[in-house]
Amino acid sequence: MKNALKISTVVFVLLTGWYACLPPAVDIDVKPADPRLVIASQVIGTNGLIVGVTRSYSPLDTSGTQDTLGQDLLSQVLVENAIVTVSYQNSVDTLVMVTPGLYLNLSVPMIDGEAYTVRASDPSTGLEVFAVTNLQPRRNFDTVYPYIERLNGDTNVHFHYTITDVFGEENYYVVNFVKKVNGGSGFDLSSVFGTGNNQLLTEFELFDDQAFQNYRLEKDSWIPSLGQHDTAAAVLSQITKGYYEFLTAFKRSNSIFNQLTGEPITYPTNVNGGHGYFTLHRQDSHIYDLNLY
Amino acid sequence: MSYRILLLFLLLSCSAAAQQQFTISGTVSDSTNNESIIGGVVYIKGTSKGVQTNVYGFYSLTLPEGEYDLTINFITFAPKTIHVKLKANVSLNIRLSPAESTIKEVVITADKNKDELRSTQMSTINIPIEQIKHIPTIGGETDVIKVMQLMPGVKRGGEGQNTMLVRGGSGDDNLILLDEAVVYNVSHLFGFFSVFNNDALKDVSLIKGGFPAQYGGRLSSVMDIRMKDGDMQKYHVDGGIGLLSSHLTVQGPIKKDTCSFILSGRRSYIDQVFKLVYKESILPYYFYDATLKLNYILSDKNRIYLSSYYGDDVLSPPKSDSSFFDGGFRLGNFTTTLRWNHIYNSKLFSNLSLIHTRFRYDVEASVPGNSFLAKSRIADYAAKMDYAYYKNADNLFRYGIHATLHGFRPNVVNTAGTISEIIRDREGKLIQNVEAGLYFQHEWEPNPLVKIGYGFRESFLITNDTFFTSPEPRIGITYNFHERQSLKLSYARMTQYLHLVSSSAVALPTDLWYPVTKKVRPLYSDQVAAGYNYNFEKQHVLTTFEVYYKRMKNLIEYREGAQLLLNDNYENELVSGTGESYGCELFAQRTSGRLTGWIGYTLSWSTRQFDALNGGKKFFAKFDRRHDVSVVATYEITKRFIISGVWVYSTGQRFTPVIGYFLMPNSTLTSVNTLPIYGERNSTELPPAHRLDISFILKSKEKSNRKWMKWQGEWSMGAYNLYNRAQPYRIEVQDNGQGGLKYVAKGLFGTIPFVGYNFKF
Repeated sequence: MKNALKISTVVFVLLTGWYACLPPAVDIDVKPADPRLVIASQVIGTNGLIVGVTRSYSPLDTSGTQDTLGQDLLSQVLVENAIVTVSYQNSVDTLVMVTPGLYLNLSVPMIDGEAYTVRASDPSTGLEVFAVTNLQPRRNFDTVYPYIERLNGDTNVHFHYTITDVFGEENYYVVNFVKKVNGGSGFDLSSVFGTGNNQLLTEFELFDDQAFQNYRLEKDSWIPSLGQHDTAAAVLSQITKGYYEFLTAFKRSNSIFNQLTGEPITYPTNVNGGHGYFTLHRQDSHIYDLNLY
Repeated sequence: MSYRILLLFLLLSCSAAAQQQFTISGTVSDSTNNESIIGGVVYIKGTSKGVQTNVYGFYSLTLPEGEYDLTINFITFAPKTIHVKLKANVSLNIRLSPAESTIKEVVITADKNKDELRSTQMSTINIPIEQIKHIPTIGGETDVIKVMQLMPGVKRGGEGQNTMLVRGGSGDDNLILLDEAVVYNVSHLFGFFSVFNNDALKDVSLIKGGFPAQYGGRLSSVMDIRMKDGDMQKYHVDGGIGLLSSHLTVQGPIKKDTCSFILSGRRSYIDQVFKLVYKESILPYYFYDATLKLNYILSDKNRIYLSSYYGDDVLSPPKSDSSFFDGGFRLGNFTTTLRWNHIYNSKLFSNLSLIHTRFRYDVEASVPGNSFLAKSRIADYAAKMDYAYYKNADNLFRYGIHATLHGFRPNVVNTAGTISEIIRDREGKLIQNVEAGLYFQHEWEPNPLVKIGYGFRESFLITNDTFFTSPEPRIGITYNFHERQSLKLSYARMTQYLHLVSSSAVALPTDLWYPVTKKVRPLYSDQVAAGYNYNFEKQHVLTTFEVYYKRMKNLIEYREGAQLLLNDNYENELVSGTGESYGCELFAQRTSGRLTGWIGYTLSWSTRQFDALNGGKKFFAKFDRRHDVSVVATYEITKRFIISGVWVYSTGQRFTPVIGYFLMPNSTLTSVNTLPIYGERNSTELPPAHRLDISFILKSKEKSNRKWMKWQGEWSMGAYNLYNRAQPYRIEVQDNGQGGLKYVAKGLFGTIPFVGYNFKF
């Protein structure tokens, strides 16, 4: 029995040493998604349309950190020399590349409510997509202004705003709060997909009809990323239900809770055969130097 | 229609009662401590006539006038045969003595196995508590739930987790009862250890299907845990010191053979170890639990029990003026059960239980200028009245009524500072409802070959604005066509009126129980099972092969991106659908002798269909694992040296992989986000998991230090995951060593050695 005790003790000591090693990871075969074209869009001015065309990529194409947009990865995902057209009524306009991944046409008549179809094809891969959306009319803030709440050694930037909904329609809205980073160059089209693209940071709020009481919304939003010396903008847009759902999914995926649990989220898309969202909406934009408040 | 069938059975069963008959009744208990014996077999030698003692040790056997040899046995006890001349009703309280050697136990096992062969109850697992003690588990902490996870048909959640997934069900589909009180949170340390202190437990059974009518309220399983009553004859102490926690149990008579107590406590001390080593609270986390049970024999016909459990998990960093962040949590259960056993006459036994159970969590956090406190509560007050009428050796009736007042108050929030603009104070909505059930069950043996157990339960849920009711028929049939073989068939419908809102496999303090509502409907399951049993008499091994099919309705899943935290409108975040599971299970068990243990194998499928998920397409449940194998063996090399091992293999659990990314500018083109592309829901399997756990137990020689004290010590040492295999639970992208990348699956724990010392005197 003494021997058994000795043997057990030796075994235990050996196991304790082994404990220092965590088990090696086991290889697993997961089939990555095939690349697809991704569409993003924005109305610029009164007759301008900009469309982003990129390719989706595999996790095995990154260094494991999906937020790292290295130059190699960017050159892989930004589609160059794509054929991008937009059709509406009986017309077809072609968009020209302004920088890899971005295509522009400044003479597309923007008609509220009109259906627009964007088509994009990537000659290097043969990938093609199309998407249809309706241009949403411009809606303006009734009132909007920032104010700064000064606490003990701390300041909080708020925006107060009111919006009136349109009677008898099912409407959806997004209010963006945009911050110009001090020292940054401001909005630069060529840097939208660039490595330094986060010079303007955005937070947003989404509203559907249920947020309105008697067709009126009065809201106070605290924007934690804004400081009292920043330059900031509040931007209101009416958007489609589909894009509202896309942005809702995005907002949910960014919540702390979701990031903690890692539950999957599927982003809705109106891009046939691809990802992203083709949206056409106008903006009511107000810029503020917060030093003045 | 079902009512008419019930009536027909009732009439048929009552027609055979024309002879002069008398009743032998009483209790069966352990002669060393007067602890009542659950599931002891009392039968007429040389016949199949017999009965099992109920959960209070009571039996009743009605037979024609005559002379009989009454044999009583229970595993680990020496069998006893008593000659009875039955001319009138006989009251006979029987005391069994523990078997002196394991060889004798073999005889007992044979009889016990025969009884299980005949029983209409199928899909049920009983593991002797003594055997559970020797099975190696993570950290060396004896854990009944981890042992149950080694049974066929029961799958575990994540590595080391206490979640039980029974026959394709979810973690919240299991009714876990401690002395009849529902235990809502069964885990300490975020699910790694169960709240049940093994020292205080007497009996554990897990029912996976063919549910008797007295049970209801959950879809997939009932785990009925009974605490020890306390030694009525002498005082003794059991204790143990482990790497993570220590435990101590004291029991003894308050008045010999009339009244006893058992008090048991356990506390983890990793916080104190760190405090000693580093002189400060580096890891200020601990858990503790305590159980107390009193039992008092008022008279031959009346007995009362009072049992209580209290336990908490606490994270409590010391408050200091200099620290930037203060925070912590406290969560735990409290249960109390008061029971009154009353024997009306030799045939009619009753039990009245009054039960209170409460689960609560408090989470607090503060930084200078801001503080946050969230609380949640669930409190139940329940009453149960159960009767058992032992009409004769061939007919046993059970009936009763249960009612529970549930009170839920989730998401009470108090904030101060700027954070109160984001998270508003709220009182939390108090939700109250009454869940009730009426049941009737008849165990009927129309001839020596056939035994039928059928019953019916009508369950109800009454809330302020709605009312649900559900008929729940149950039936089990055994065809004992050979002395060593039997066939069994069962059907059971179960209804569940509450569910756990949690979006993670890990038990978080924020997991909340909610009742069903007008929007979130009651959950239903219908399960049919068929089984074949073979008793290898010479080898003393009982084997069971079962196939089952279970259909579940109104299952709950979470909408993609659900916001569950502090959400009073959580119903909007839930979606409902259906589920289906089927498979087969093989179980071969040896519960006595020098070599004990079991081999279990499960082949199963479990799917879900939700209109709002996966494009409406059917998908595999997260814990759908095709193959599951467990081999558990304990070998008594000598009376003092025991070796035990567990080997498990299971197909990897399913997950929804990120199979791609895309870049998406925001709606003002002022920033770009990287968004993931997920594959089909639960479409990918992690690599298989397998591991070997071992333990060695060395018992000390019995020393009689003093006349009144016999010290017995026991060293246990061993290792979890001996060969250090990763039990995959997540995937990562890693360098493949060739300039590219690859997916790998990682495990949580490697080899974890443990050592502990247990003692009793």
